[in-house]
Amino acid sequence: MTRPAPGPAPTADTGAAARMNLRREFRTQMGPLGLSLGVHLLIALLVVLGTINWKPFRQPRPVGLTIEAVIVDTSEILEQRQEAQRAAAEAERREREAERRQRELEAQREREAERQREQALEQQRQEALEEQRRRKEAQDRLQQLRMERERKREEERLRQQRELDRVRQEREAAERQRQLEEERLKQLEARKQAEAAEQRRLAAEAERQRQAEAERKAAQAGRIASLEDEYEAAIRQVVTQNWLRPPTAQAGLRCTLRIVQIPGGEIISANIAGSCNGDEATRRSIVAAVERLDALPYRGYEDVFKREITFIFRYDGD
Amino acid sequence: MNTALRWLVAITVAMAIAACQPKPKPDEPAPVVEDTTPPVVTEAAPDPRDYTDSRNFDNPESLLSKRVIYFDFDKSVVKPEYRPVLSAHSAYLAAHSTARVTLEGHADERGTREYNLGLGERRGNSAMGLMSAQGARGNQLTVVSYGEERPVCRVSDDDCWSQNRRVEIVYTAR
Amino acid sequence: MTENVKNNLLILLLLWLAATPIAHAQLTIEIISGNPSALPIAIVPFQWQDARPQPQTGVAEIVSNDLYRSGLFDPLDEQDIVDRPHDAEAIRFGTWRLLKVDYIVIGTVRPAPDGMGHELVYQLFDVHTQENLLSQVTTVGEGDLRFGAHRVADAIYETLTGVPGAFSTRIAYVTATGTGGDARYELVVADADGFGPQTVVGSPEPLLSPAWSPDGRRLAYVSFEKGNSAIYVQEVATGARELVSSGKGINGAPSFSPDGRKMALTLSRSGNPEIYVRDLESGRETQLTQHWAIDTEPTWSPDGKTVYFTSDRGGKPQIYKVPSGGGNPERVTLSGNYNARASVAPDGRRIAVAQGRGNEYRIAVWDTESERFTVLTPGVLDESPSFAPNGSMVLYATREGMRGVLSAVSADGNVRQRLILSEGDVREPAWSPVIR
Repeated sequence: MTRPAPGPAPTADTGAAARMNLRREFRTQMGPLGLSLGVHLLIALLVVLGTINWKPFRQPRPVGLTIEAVIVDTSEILEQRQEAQRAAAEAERREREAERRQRELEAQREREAERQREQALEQQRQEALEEQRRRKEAQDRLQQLRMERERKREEERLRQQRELDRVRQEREAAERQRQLEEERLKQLEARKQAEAAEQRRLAAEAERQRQAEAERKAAQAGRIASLEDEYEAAIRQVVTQNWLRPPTAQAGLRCTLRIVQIPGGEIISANIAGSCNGDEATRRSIVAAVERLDALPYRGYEDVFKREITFIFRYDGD
Repeated sequence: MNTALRWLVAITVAMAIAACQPKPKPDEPAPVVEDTTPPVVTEAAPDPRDYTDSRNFDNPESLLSKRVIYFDFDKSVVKPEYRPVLSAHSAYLAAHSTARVTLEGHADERGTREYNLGLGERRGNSAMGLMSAQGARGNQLTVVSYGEERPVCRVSDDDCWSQNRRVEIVYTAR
Repeated sequence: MTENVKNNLLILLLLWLAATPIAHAQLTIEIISGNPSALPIAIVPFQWQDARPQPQTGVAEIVSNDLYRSGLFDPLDEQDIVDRPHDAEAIRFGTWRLLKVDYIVIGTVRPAPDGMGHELVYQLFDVHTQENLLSQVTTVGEGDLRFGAHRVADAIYETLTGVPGAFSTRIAYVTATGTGGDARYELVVADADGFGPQTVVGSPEPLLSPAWSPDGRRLAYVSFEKGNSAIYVQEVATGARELVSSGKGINGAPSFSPDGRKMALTLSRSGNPEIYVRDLESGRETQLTQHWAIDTEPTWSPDGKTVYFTSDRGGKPQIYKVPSGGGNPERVTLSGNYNARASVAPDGRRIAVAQGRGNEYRIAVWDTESERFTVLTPGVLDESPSFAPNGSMVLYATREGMRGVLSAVSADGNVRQRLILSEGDVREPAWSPVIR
């Protein structure tokens, strides 16, 4: 954007005042201009009319002058006549010339006035355009500022909203967590009770079955051998999984653990028996390996159930 | 080649040479540009090879101004390039029986502190051995080991370590 | 083992297993290796029954951190502790079983009867047997709550591992700040977890090699305050000190004998560093080594019969041992390029060293029975290992950028923790004995 003039841009008010002045000045100058144009037109009209009618009147006058001499050389008379004719033509030419020049001057003046008028109009138009542009600019700026302010306000509102949401979410999460924990505790308790009941039921059932099938066992010795393997493998797996061997356990560890279980698989006693070269933490980890279990595998192995089991815990380094 | 061009080349070459000059190491005294202005003192400048002249301690051209020698990792053998430095100081001590020197042995940070105390002492001893053999008297020399406790540089890299593995020749009396 | 032998063994085992149920009514099952794991334990936040404000860090948190740092325990995260019982009747063991912990600790903090300090009342239960394994009251003075928490951790540790805890012990270390003329060295004593540092001695000249007396009351150290190395022994409580050695050459690496009556040290008055044993009562000295090599960093076996030391008589520094009454030195560490500064575990079997390989130094433990190294730390400039008095952890110095810091690593290398310590370059930790 280029400024029309150096220096501070005029404010809207001073710009309007300047325009008013210009208009007033224009009006005051237009009066005399019109008058002068009128007078000039009138003169031109008279000159034109005059010249049209004069021509025939003025012609005979030099003729009358030439007949004063009686005896004259005709050649001289001719010469004189020619001379007079030339003079008259000359005068006419001069007059026409003056007229033409006058007309030209007139036209030029007119063109000049027209040009000035147009210039003034153009300037006015430019000024108006400039003013419009400036006003638009100011408006745009204002609009921009307003939008910026609006945007910021919106942002702030959103931020606060987010913050509020976050706090609310946190609070909700904490509440959910609390409820979840409560729920979990309840579930744990319920599950444990259910498991205990189930186990008691299973134990009773198992005991009944054990008694009922006591006689059949001897006959089934062959089948039992493989079931026994399975039983042992199941127990080994679950105990190995639950042996959390402490870092202090040394390679070369040998510990014997003897347990007694009741039908259903519940362990009623677990003791380190015989030799154990593990430290306190290791011994504890070995006892905990079976105590951590609610019950040893039982269902499906009722036929091969063993009341007493001896475990040998070994560790020979990684 | 016209004169102006010749001047331009000369100036460029001079600037290039100035830029290429090695940066002075912080541990070794920087080579001092020869002073063009004549010395104000009327006394004649000392002969840098005269190791009995105490003025040479501050004369960068003299070996007496060099008072630190450096070692390889876990080594205490004085490297051949530092033997002339020890010889110069030995000559001074031989000529000045009241002069006293402490040889401070240092090690880089690698390895244990007490072992490095031993290593620093071993370096001091090896410098002392050479100096004794070249005329310095036993009562003029003392070895103190600081191990890795007084590094001149504290970055863990080869360059820094090489600056720390050193014996400093400290005059307690001149 | 070849595949063939393996198969044969398997067949034998199967045959044996098949025969067993018929022969005996008993079942024998072998459990091999199991899952390597720390002991799962829950330390329930202690109940605060005191009108005075509760400190930011709770007792249970300190206990948990202590136990975790040892590498032997896996304390349940505080946020996973959903149930917070404060007395035995309120413990729902089923819940804790489901949370897969084997042990639970509950407790209360209340004012001591004198109204000044605190009483820590706590109990330890086996979650499976519901047995009460420990029920104690620990009384501590005003401002000693952290110490009380460490005592609780010690008691739990001892009950469950059979080894006394070392959490209520202290550590000594050296800090260095500033350079050149502004350099300042301090010998500092702090709790074993790095809290509560107190400066024992400060000097503008280097300080190094702090060593505890077996009663934990005195510290021996090396100071350069006189321009050369000199050994001092200082009472920690009073600050009173005594110059032990300041002869020509090196006076370094002091180490008290387990009975506290002698001190092993390094002197180079003969021209190169040798190990001596000085009777602190009479001042009489016995020279233990005589070799042109650097012999230094002596340390005693727990029974006091052997002195281990660093020597480069074989070309590179290695650990050697010599009978403390004198005898022939014998090489101990048999692998590695650079092994120095031994710290012997209380079991007398494991020896921690600073092990160098190229430009990297790590803490490694030499097992004198299996004659193998276990590397405990990642490097790259780890040094000054110091075994905890119960052998469960090793304290050592390492680098963090340009700064030296201290870290503790569990003896199996599984758990490593940086200690929060004062500003400056921290080095040369020494773990105090158990103070009873």
